[in-house]
Amino acid sequence: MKVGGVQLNKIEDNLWEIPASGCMKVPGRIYISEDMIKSQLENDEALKQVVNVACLPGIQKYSLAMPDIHWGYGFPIGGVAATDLDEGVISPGGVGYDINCGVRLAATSLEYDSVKNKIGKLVENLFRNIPTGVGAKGAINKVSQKEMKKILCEGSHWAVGNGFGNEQDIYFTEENGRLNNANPDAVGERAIERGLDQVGTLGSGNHFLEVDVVENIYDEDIAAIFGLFKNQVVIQIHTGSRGLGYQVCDDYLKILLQTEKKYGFDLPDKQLSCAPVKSDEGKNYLGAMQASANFAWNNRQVIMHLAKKSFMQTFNIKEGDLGFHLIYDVCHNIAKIEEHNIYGKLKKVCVHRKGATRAFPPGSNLIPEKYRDAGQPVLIPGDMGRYSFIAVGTNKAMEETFGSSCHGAGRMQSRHKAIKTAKGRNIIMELNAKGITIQAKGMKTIAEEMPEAYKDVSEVVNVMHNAGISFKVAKIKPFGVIKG
Amino acid sequence: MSYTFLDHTADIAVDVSGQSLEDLFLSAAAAWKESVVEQKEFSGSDTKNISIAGDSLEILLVQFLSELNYFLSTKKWLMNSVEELEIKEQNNRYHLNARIYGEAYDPEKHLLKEEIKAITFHQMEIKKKKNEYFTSIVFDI
Repeated sequence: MKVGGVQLNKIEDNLWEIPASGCMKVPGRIYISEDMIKSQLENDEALKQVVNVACLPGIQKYSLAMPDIHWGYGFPIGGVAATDLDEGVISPGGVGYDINCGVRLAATSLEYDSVKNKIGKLVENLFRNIPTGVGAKGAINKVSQKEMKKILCEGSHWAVGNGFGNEQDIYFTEENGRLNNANPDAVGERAIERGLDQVGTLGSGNHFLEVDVVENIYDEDIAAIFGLFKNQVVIQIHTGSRGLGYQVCDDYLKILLQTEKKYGFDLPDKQLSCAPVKSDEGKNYLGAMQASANFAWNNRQVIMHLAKKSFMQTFNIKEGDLGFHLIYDVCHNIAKIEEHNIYGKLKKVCVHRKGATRAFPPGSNLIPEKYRDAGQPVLIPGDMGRYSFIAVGTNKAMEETFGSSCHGAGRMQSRHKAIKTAKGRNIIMELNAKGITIQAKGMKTIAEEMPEAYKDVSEVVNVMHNAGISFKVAKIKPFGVIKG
Repeated sequence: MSYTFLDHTADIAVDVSGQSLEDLFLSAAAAWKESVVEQKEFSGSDTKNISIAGDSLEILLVQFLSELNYFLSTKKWLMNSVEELEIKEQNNRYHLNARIYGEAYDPEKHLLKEEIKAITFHQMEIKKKKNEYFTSIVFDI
C-alpha cells in the first residue's frame, strides 16, 4: 500500500518495508500494526523521514523505525540507524536535541496500601525538593566550570562521589552512567554556561517524576529477577541533559551544515546534517554528545537521590527500611559505537537511537550480571493518567533492530489542542478522581500533558511484544506525579 | 510585520512575514517573544548588541533567534524589543547587527510560557513574493 506517498510492503504482522529507491542506500523497515499505520501515519511526514535516513552515507542493513514512530527533526522519533565507522556518518539529527533523554526506574520495598494515604504529602515533598519547570535553578547551587568538566567526564560517578547515591546505582545504569570517551573540550562555552545551574533539575514539557504501583506482572520469573512484585511502589524519572544537551545539538547542527559541502553530501533535509564518524567534526560531535550524555546520567542520579530523601522525609523511615534501589536507567536519545552482526559478520557500527531504547538480550555482557539470565530492562513510559511498561530485550532485537525497542507513547494532540480540550475542565480533579495526585509549576503544563493528548502506550508495547523484539514484564500505574 | 501561529503536534510552528528582510526578522523576534513569555510589554530599558554572520539568510535567522534564546536560557535576560536592526550582504555572506532592549528575567514579574530548546531549520525557506518576505519557523520545545 501507499501511505503519505511512500510505498509500504507487508513483511509480516507488525513489520513493513519501504523498498529502496532513489537515493536510498538500504530499505526502510517499520515495526507497526496495520491499524496504527492507518490511524497515525497517513498525515505524518515520518515515513518520508525513514526514507531520508536511508540515504545517509554508510547506513547498514535498514533505516528502522519503532511503533512509536512520529515526525521529528531530521530522523523521525522512533528512528534507529547504524552506520559504518569508516564510510558512514554521525548525525546530531539522529540523536535529537535532548541528548540522553532517558528513563530511570527505582523501586522501594513499600506496598501501595502503606503509601496511598500519604501520597499528597509525598508529592508535596518531591515537588519542593526537586526543581521543576522553566527557569528552575538546580538542587545543587550553580557549579563552577571546573566542576562541570568533571560532571561531563564522570557522569553518575560525580553524583555518587558527592553523596547523591551509592555504587549500586552506578551498577544498574546503562553504560554504568558514564561514556568513557566524552570530550568536555568539544562542548561549546554556551552549552556549558547553559548547564551550570541545571544540575539536578527535571525541566518542563514531557519530563516528569512519577510514583507508580506495580499493577500487573506478565512474566513472574523475569519480574523476580528485576526485583518487581505486585503492589510494590516504584518511581520513574524521565529527563535528560537539559539546556546543555540542547545547545550541543544546536551548535553541531550549525557546524555540520557548513561542512556538508566539504564532504560532498547532498542531504534532503538540513536537520540531517552530518559528518563522517571518523572526521574531526564527527569525532568532536561524538565527544560532545558523550559528555552531554554523562551530564544527563548525573542529572537523573541527583534527582533520584532527592526522591529517596523525599520518601524518607514523608514516611519518617530510615534508608534500610525504605529499600530504595535503582532497577535500571536507560537512555532513548543517543548514538553509540556498538558491535553488531551485519550479514553474518560482527562489526563495530555507530547506532543512532532517537526515541528508541536499547534492548539487549539475555547473556549480553553489557548488562548487569544480575539481569544476565533475563535480558536488559526496557522502560517505556506512558501518559500521566494511564500506565507505563517494563519490558525486556531479546535476541531477536539483536538480530533485527540493532538491539533496540520503542520508547514511549508520543503525542496525539498538539499542545494547543490539548489546552482547548482541557478548557472548562479541572484536570487535577479528574486525575484525583482516578487516584492520582499531581503537582506542577503551571496549569498550562497540566493541560498540555493531559492523558488524552497522548496515544495509548500499550499499542506500541504490544507491537514490540508480538514482534518478539521486547517482551512485556510488568505494567505500572501512576498515583503521584510531579511535572514542570 | 506579522506572524501567525500554526497547529503543530509537539512543537511551535509559526508563519512570519515582513515588508523587508529586516521587517521579517522583527516579526520572527516578536513571535519568539510571544512563545516564551506571557507579558506583552515590560520596561526593557537594558540593552545588548547582536552582531552575527551566516552563509545563508536562513542560517542568519536561526542564529538571530538563537541569540535571543541564549540571552533568556543562559543569561536570564529577556528581550522586549529589537531596534536598529540591519542586514547586509557581503561576498555571499550575510551580516546582521541589532540593538536589543530588555531586562533581567524576574520570576516575580515575568511569567515564562515555554522553554524553547532550539530554533530549528525545519521547513525554513525565506522567499520573496511581490514586495513581501515570508518563511515558516519551528521552535523545538
